[in-house]
Amino acid sequence: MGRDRGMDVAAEAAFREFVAASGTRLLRTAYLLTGDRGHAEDLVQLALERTARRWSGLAGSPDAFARTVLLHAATDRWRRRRARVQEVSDEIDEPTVADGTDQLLLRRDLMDALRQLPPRQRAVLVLRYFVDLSEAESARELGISVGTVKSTASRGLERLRTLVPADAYQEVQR
Amino acid sequence: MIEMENLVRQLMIEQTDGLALDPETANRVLTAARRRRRRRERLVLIAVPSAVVALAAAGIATATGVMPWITREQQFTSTPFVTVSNPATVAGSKVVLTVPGPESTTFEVITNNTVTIGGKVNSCVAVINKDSQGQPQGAGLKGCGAAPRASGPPGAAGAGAGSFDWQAPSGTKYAVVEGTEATPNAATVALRDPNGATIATGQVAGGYFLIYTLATPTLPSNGSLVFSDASGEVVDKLSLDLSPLRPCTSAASPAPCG
Repeated sequence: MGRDRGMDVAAEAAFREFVAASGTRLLRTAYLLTGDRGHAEDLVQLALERTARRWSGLAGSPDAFARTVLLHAATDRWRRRRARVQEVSDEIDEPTVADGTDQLLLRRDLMDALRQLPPRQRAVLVLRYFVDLSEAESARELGISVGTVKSTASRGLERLRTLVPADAYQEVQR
Repeated sequence: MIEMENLVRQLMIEQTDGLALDPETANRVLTAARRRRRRRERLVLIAVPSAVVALAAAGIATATGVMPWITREQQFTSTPFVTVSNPATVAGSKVVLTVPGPESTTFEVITNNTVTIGGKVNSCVAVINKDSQGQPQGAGLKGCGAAPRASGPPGAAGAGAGSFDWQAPSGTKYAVVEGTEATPNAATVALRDPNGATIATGQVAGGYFLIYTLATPTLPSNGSLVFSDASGEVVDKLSLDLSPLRPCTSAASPAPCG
């Protein structure tokens, strides 16, 4: 594997094309994994730097490689943050009202709920429903079995249901 | 469940719709990669050959009493152990110590006593850092000397210990101290300041140790390594010059440079 070899002009051009084509998608994936734009940009920079270093020796898709770096880095960050004291939210619960704001409230609640999921569950949901990977592809990128992807996705969705106020969800489903 | 899947899918798309990568990102990444490569090339081009030449010359000079670069230039050759990014892949290499480092990285101390330089079997030691993916990052020091190693690792500031500063992937700087400890029952090592306060602790394995701490202006200019056995009994001490590991002074910090 050609690790961190100098890139020639053609390789640099190919790498730039890759960043132009996939960079925004990676940033959005990172944002969903971290819930914070600044951290997402840091993670993408890290993932792209590592992809650039391995560019000449990459055997598979650079997207998959960069995404794997992103997933690992997001998990590491989550582990570090977990040790810190949780900030206390000063938001108050807003009453659910049966008009157009239900959709907005549900979305806000769902995003909050997504951020509360453990990193593995969040990663599976992001890969399955945002990146649109199959169960087998998600399993390969996360280094887990297909069965684990299925059960983790199912548990993640179930957890979202429990975290989102049931009346809001039912209202939108109608 | 299908409704929830669709809702999540739709929500993820909506929530990230306004996010776009800065068009300058590719340039930034390529510049960082070039900088990193140049740094490693400098290390390989300057530090490693210098260490190899100095150590080989010292060994040969000791053995022959003749300055080798005048009459014995052919006596030393480059060795894959000090030129590859991961010396552990060279035949005969052994990872004697693995130490979890900062930011999900790992330090490895690798030895090899079978590398032949100038017709003599040399003892080679490398300290490398691996990232969270297990890939060597090229940090650290490598070098070979006449076997058996008698005066500590390559780059040793004093008998038994060497030091270097190392930058983690985030940019944070660390002071790394590594070396050999002859006391056979030494199990742990502590880096202490002149007042005896512990700055960092580490393990001893196979006669080698590695210990690291943040390289800050508050790092004392000298300290000591205190080795203990498994029961916590002190078995050896070694004084250490830490000044090369201190960051340079700034207006805000009165600490002396270097």
